[in-house]
Amino acid sequence: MTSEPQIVQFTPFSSLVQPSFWHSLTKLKIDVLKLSQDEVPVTASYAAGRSVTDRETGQDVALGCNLILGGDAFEKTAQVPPHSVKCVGTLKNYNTIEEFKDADKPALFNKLADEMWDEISSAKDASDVSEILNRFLLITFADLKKYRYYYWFAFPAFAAKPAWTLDPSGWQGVESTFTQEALSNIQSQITTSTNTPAFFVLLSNANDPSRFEIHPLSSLESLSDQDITVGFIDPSAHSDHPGWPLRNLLAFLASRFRTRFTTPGSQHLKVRVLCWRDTEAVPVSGKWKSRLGTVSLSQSQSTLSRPSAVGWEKNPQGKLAPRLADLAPMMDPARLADQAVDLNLKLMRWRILPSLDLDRVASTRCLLLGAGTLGCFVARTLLAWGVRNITFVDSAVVSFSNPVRQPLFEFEDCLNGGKPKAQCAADSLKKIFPGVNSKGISMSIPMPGHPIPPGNVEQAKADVAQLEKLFDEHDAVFLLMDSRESRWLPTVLGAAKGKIVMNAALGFDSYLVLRHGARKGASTAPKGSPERLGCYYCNDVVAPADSLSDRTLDQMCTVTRPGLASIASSTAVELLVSLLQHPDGVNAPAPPPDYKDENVEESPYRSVLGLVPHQLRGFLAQFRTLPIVGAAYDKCTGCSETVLKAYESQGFDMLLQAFNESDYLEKLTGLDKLHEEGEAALEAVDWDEDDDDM
Amino acid sequence: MFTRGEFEIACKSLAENATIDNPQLKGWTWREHPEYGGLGYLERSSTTTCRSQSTETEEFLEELCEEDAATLDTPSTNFIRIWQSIAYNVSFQMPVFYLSVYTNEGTPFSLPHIVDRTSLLLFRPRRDDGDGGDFEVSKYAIQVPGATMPLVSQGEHPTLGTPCYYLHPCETQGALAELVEADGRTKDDKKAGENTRKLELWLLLVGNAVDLRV
Repeated sequence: MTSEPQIVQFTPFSSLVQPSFWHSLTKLKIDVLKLSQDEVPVTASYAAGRSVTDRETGQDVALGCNLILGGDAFEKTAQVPPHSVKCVGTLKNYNTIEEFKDADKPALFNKLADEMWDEISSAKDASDVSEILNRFLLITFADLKKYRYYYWFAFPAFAAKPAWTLDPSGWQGVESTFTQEALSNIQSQITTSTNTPAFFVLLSNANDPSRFEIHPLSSLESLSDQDITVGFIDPSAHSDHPGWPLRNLLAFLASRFRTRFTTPGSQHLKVRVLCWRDTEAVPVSGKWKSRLGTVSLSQSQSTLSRPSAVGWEKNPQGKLAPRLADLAPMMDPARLADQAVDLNLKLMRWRILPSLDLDRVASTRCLLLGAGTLGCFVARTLLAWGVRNITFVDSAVVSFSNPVRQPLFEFEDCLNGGKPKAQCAADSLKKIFPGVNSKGISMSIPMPGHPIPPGNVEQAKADVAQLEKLFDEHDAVFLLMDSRESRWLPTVLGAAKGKIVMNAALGFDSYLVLRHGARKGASTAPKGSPERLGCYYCNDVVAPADSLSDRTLDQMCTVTRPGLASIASSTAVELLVSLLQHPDGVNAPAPPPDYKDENVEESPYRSVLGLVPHQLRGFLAQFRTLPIVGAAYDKCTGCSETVLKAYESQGFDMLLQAFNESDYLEKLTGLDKLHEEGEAALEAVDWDEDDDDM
Repeated sequence: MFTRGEFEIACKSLAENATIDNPQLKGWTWREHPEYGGLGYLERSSTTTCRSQSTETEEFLEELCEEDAATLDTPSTNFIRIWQSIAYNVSFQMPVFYLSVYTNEGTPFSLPHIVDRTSLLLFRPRRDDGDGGDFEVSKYAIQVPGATMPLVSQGEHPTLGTPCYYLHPCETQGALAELVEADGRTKDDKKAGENTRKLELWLLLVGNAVDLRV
């Protein structure tokens, strides 16, 4: 057995793809290739084989014979890392996984091998040949929806038959042949050249045989009979196995320089090979990693036809099959957006308000009754604060007048009769930020003064039940509807269920933003502030009634200055956030209008964001906002104990009476008596509460 | 601390001395944006000796057959790869350290996964102060308890636009100022050397949080 010469075994290339390459492929596919399956050139590189010291065991571990693809692989001017050899390959991207699977891989491989062989055997100037010897093929399928990339590399290498054999002396360390000085000198010639030479010829200096010079492969054409060593940058770190590039180099030498390497009088090609592996700092004596050996080939082989080629890369399981890169964990845009949005808010906390409780805001589930101008703006501001659960209720569809004033709708949404506003707004929020949990419910809210026909009672009952359920499922309710009376039922439900109720209403150039007082009231209301704050109806001495019939168009549809809605909406959201940051939450006491905020930390009125007023009335004509405090009214048709208890004991029956009988609420609360007492009619402050613009 | 110009000068000088035998300073390459100037950054790649699992592609059968005695049948070792980059942050006027950890396929590791394999020692918990190692690791961030900003979070590389992990620059600013003050060396040297020294000190700081040995 010992007499049998040992076959030279080459370490195959193993691909190393950086994540940035997949990003570049994604861009290329989307912007340039689109559906094209044309072959495109890609640039890769390899460096001298390295081993690293295992930090745990202290042993040297040989790293793979890596061909590296980076993010600039598709650039014409791709830079390769220092001391690396540049290789140009061909990428073919398939549009579907089926096409990828069904691709005729042997045909692709053989086409490339044919091209390489043609160029090797026909190249006029051997200096061109370096790039040809290292050509490779990469086929891919990019699943851009899931950020999964299937791929398969092939590094065609021509297989000699019979195989190259190794001289009995085997692969030896270079220090047995060269002096430290000669090695340092070779090293500096290799590392200082602008492009690291993949292959080279090593010749001893004519005047000083202890010095060596590196020459390009083309110099083989003109060299006289000298002692020639052929070298290459060896990506393998195995001491007994040279790297893959040597295979094609030997095939090239056997084909083009057969006679030069044939020992006179023998039938054998003999090549002395230098596997250069030292490209970093000059090693100390005894630490050189480069190897030297002599390989032979018996010359019976004809080199006229192309030798067969091998070189498909095995996958990590050791099979000849494609590999997979899964970038989803870092690429899913929805997850990325989620993270970026939170970071923005965190920055605010970090920069300005360390004690800001963002989680409290983000975890507040918001129910928006009305998806018009106010609803749209409120939702956007909530989103910016990190609120993740937003539900819209609205019964209308998007009309052509809406999009310019209502920022969640577009022209397209108005076509074909218009999309339901609630769902459309919810979808639009998701488009803006996929991480939001938004829902839209098309439903009309029953109102006092709008009697329910007997045939519709069951529907109204179901609507009320659904609304009650929605209240239970949310923490804060915004009243943003287009009429005064539609706010009545939500006012009752909000007070009965102890929810935070935020109310916003618009006039032509004035607005009202108000938080409803909690039913229990602040247990420790500071002196001078009401025990229980009022609701929307507390200032009214008339019960809500039909305000929609018998009105001209401009009365029915709010005609407001366009900027007003966003001012009122933002005010409402900011008031909610201030309230959430106050230690007493929904029971936060409202500062008296003349309260001088002296930035006293202990002030009972302050949250980390400042005061939490009860009502804000804004007048755009004067660009002025007034904070107002109003106490709860014991005859209020919306939040008084009488009303709440009647609702709690009678449920839907009580509500039905309120919807159907115009004087029911006034009788219930005793407002009717009040009316009798004071004949003089009191004009209600007429807030034109509407946002259904025309 | 740095203008963009100063950052660029310092980085280029670091890249010129890439063969220096110092694990924090060696191997850096200066890269430019392929189209626009003024967006250059440093990068380097390294390999750890830790093995990783590759995603299996079960849906594929072994399709081809190659038998060749001259091909070394080498077991596939999937080492964990690390890519590091230093880019400039305009808001902080500071270099920011970016990091990506991935398999041979280019599949990135999530933060919990990275921290899990602490043999990597990639992130250095402050073990010496008693309650060290007590980090909250989520998918996107490593948070020091009580700190307002995460120590490490996921973000985009400013030039490449690819997702990476980065060390938040908020704390390095103050610490670097102290170091520069204490160092004194930066004052005596000429302008170019001063910036390079500052960048080296900054890397020293980064080395406290991230294992920079390559």
